[in-house]
Amino acid sequence: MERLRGFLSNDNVNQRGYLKREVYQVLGAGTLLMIMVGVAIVYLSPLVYMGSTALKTEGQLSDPDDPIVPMSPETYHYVSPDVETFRYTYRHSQMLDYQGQQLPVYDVIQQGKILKYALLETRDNVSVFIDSENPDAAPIELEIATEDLKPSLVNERLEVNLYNVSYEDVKGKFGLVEELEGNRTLWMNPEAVNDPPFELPIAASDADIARNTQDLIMYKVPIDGETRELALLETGRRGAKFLDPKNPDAEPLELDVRVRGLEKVWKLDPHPENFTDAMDAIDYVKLFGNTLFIAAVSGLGAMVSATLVAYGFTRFNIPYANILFLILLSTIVLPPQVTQIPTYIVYNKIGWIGTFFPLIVPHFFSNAYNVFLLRQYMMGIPLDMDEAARVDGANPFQILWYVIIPAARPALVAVYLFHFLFSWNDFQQPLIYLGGGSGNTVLAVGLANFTRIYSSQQNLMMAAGILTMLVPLAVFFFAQRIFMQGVVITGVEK
Amino acid sequence: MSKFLKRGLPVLVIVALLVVALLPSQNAKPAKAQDPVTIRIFVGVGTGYLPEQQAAQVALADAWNAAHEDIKIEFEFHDNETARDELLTQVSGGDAPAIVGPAGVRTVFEVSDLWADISSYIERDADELNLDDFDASSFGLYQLGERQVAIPLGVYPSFIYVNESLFADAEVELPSTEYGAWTYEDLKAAAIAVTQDANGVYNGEDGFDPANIEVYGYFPFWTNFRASTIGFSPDSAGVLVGDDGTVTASFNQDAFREAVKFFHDGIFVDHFIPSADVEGAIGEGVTNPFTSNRIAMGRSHTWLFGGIKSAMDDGNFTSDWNVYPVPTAPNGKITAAVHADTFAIMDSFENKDAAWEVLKWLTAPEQALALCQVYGCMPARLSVRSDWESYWLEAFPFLNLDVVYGALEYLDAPNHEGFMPNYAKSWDALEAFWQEVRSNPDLDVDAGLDELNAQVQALFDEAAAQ
Amino acid sequence: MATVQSAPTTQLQSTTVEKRFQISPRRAQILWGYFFLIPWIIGFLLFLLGPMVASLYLSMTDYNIQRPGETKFIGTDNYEKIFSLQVIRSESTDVTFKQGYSEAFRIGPLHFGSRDYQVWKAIQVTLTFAVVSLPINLSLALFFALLTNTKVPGVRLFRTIYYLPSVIPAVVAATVFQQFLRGQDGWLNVYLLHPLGLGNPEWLQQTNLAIPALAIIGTWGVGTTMLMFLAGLQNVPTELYEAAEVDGANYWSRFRNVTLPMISPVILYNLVIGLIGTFQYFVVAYILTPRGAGGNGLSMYFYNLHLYREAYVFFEMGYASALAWILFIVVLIVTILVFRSSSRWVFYAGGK
Repeated sequence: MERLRGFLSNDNVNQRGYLKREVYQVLGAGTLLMIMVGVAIVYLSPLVYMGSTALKTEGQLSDPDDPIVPMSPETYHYVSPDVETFRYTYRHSQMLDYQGQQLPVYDVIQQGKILKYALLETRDNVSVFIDSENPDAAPIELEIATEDLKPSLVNERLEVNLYNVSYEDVKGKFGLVEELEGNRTLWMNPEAVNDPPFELPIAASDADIARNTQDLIMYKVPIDGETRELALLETGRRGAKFLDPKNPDAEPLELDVRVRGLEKVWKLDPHPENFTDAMDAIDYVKLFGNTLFIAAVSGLGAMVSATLVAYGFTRFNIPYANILFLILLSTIVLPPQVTQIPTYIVYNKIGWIGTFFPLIVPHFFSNAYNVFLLRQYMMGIPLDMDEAARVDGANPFQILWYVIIPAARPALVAVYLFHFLFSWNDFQQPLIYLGGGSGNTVLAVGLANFTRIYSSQQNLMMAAGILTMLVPLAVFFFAQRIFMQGVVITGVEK
Repeated sequence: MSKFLKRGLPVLVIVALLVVALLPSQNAKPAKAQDPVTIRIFVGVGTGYLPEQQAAQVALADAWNAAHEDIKIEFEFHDNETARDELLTQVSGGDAPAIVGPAGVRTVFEVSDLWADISSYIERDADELNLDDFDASSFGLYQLGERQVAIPLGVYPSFIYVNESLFADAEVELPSTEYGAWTYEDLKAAAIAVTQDANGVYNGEDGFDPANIEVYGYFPFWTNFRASTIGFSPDSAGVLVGDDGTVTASFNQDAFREAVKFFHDGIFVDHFIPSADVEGAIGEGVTNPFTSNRIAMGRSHTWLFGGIKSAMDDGNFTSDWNVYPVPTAPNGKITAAVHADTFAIMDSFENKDAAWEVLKWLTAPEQALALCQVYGCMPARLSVRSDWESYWLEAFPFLNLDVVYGALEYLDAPNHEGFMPNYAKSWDALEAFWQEVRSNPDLDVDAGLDELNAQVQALFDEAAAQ
Repeated sequence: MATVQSAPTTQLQSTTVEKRFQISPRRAQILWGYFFLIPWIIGFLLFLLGPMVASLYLSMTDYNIQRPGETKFIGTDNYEKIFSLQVIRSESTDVTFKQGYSEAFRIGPLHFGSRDYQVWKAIQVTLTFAVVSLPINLSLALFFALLTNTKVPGVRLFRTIYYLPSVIPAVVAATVFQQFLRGQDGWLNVYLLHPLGLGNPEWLQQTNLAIPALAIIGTWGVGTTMLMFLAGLQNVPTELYEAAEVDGANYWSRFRNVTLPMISPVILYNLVIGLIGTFQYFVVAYILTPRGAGGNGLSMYFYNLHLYREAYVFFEMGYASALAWILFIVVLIVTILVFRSSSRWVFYAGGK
């Protein structure tokens, strides 16, 4: 160690370059590159997964065979000879056949129950009902105005054939509910299932019957030793029917294959619009601005304050420095879960809840992580340089400015980066002080919007996640230049 | 770089110091005597925080705020995953919101000490509230001993969701649409028949590979111990309250044994239910697991409608599906578990009169319908049920409403999320066991349930001793 | 008389005044030193001290988040609960403890019961993880720092790539790593273990794989530590290597005798911060286990997870504060020991 110290007191220390050559020479360029690429593949894999997910639709993601590259199966547009049908619930009012009378049935709400009562008669304020489920019981008199009553509906589940109808100004695809006498027909509109059916003076044969169209999924089907690309028409338990798109008029091929065991015919189908959808979903631009502001400003505070405090700890022989330093460290040793509520009370008292202040201001008063790092680094800077400066009459600020800061530059950049990236991804504090969910918050919290209790939008979350990582990665990539330049200590500038 | 250090740093330091100096000065907020009361509504402990839901709630707040000068509403949205911690921090930090909701039965019981008793308000305004209009089965859900802490907003009955297309592919007959017409044995048989591995081999056929299943016959949605087992109709949902107020845990009664075996064997022996680990694979990336086309059946509540609708609107789910009745338990009873949502007033909020006015308004028919449409619940107010029906028929014209309403006849009472002494710890013990059921093939179910029951009983006793 | 007396007094006064203005260099040093500490001292008093004292006080109460109004001072009862132990010697697996005690762990025929049996499991998990993960992460980070401190083409890109997993937002990382560690379709199994014929283990479900799974995830996050090492490596002067080379030292001896001592301050930093971080390990275990409950058989039940659950799931903030202060004291002692030992292995060029 003494030998090392001897070398370091040498004024003209050029620290650049040598170590870089060192590893290079020992391992050899080829081996080194191979190791680096291998590690890079492992370290890129989370991003690959994110990118793959971000470019897919939910449909692609739920396909258990989906490849990493976003793909969709080829389809074949098929117009089948079958009639297109429509299943729906036909709700209509109910009548009760009561002693030869047809009585309308209403929903009568009594003591938390919906009762289906048929209205027999109304007298003044009183309505007389028959319980439709027990018509033989005595009539019930209730003080209910009939205009407040809703007719009781019965549900009839129908499957109707669809026709392309064109009659005067009534045009569209409608379902045939009933053919009435005298070339009249009753129709329903599949676009408005709750509307009552309507009647047209045309016969069913006057309208064009609608044909079922389908996009059939293409599979690679092995037949007699060769693999053919066929469209799946119908799946059965033991076999399946396929169509050959090259020969669509031929009879469907009935094959003894299991569809889930077949490979689909894939085509590239990325969905970059997920990125814009994700940005729209969480007000990305605003959250991005908030995050950038908080990270950049608080990073600055963290760097500046840590520089001052670490300088104070390392370059002045102050009494109780060790104890003070231990107190400094102890502030990050206590688990934050138990100080969260008292801290919240402090910020609530001074009206900072819902503002950015709790996320920025405390960092201007330094924290243990940064001070500790800079302390370690500053203690590695030889003392004789500030001695020289002091002899030249420099005051402590000048020494800090001209000696320490230039020498500790990589560590300063590291502190800024470290804090910027911490702040960029910090979740717990913005969550507590700005509130979760939505509104004026930061990206890390906004991202949580995509994980949901009953549903999730992983593709959008991954897209937003990638967008969120871009800035820290860019900052890191470019900060390296400053960071890795190394330090050239040539003595004290005068 | 040194140029940057020389010129840039001083500027940055000055800017930084200025920022520090200026920041705190903006905070003095003089309080005026005539300031309106702000009723902050904390959303996120249940549903309600999704973007499309937020819009509807904000619209309601705007409507109220336009009409009222003295009381203002402010919805505050939090993500479900973190909402609980945030709420607790706010409450302990002396910054409690006025109203919390929509909150489910579990939330209400788990943090039962946080809620205000509103029974005197309900009594006072009974006529205005029109208590007759509330579904009789839903009011008791929020009864905490002597206290009534909420007015029901909506209920979520449950049914078996069936992917009919997968049944058609497997050439398996669809279940009956009548309550009482099928049992858990029938469900298991159908589920096994539609379970299929990645090579297309069905469960029970030669060469079926249970390690590589692509279609599962049955999926336990949003699973927890009490919700998953309640369908086997255990007595008192496992919590027996004696006349003298003593509470006995009964989580090792036969109904629970049968239920747990149904799931444990279904996962590890009969291979028609995914294990905890595989559940994640199925749910990956999809709006909800049902729209993955990898599960043929699963019991869930009305809130699944919303997820299915969005998947269908986006073209990501095109299969035929419908709801079917829950099966009959081996003990002959039918139980369709129900969830419920409501808004509750916080006990630590001072101005309860103002909060009550808002609560009353939120649960009035018009607002209840608007909220239920975005939350996916069936309104507890009977007068708006048919409007709710129309809304969902618009989305799913084929929906079997008879099954939907039929479930209301078989709701679980006491509720499976209802009262337990030492709620949080007891719930946690049940969940730890449930996790074991779904991940440990070697679990001895009978011994495990006995041990669990003893553990929960100890927690019940601990609460009684306090 | 008056003049006679006044003269020395004035003289005395003037000397004092002079002394007051001529502070000794040593004292000036001290004042300057404290002056530079002012930002931290203010911040400590404003934002940190209050909450710390508050939590210390709460640790001696039965503060329950649900019922803050009923809080009572209970002295050291919370601390007694943590350390409560009852030992029973029995060959049987079934032993009965006192009221309120349940079995925490067992060594041979000795059964240890505790009022909080989970805390012992949590201590075991935390220590095991610290022993497994910390050395791996520190050496891996140093290795990557050395690798990327070379002049390989595209080294800046490689550095960025190694750093990349550290900037994935936690919410997203949870989803990604849950997928990676899944049995049936997880990438770790599909692309690595399965091709090697090692089967499809369910990393997050099998109790014996829990710690290895978390350690594997941890290796993806060494970017920040690597960054710190890189900063340290920039400070190693070339001359030292040249001199060592002249002495005929090979790469490894140069690494041991030059590189390691020169970056030892950064090693100390990473070790201490790593220790604190590992003892407070929380987020990953919380998001990777269902309900944040610590996984099957409490295999991922870390000390801080226990603390969090006591506070926010079971509302026992008073007890959680006691847990926190025990952790605080333990970590502080370990830190002090590390610092004590550091005089033997940390080399400060500007050092004392």
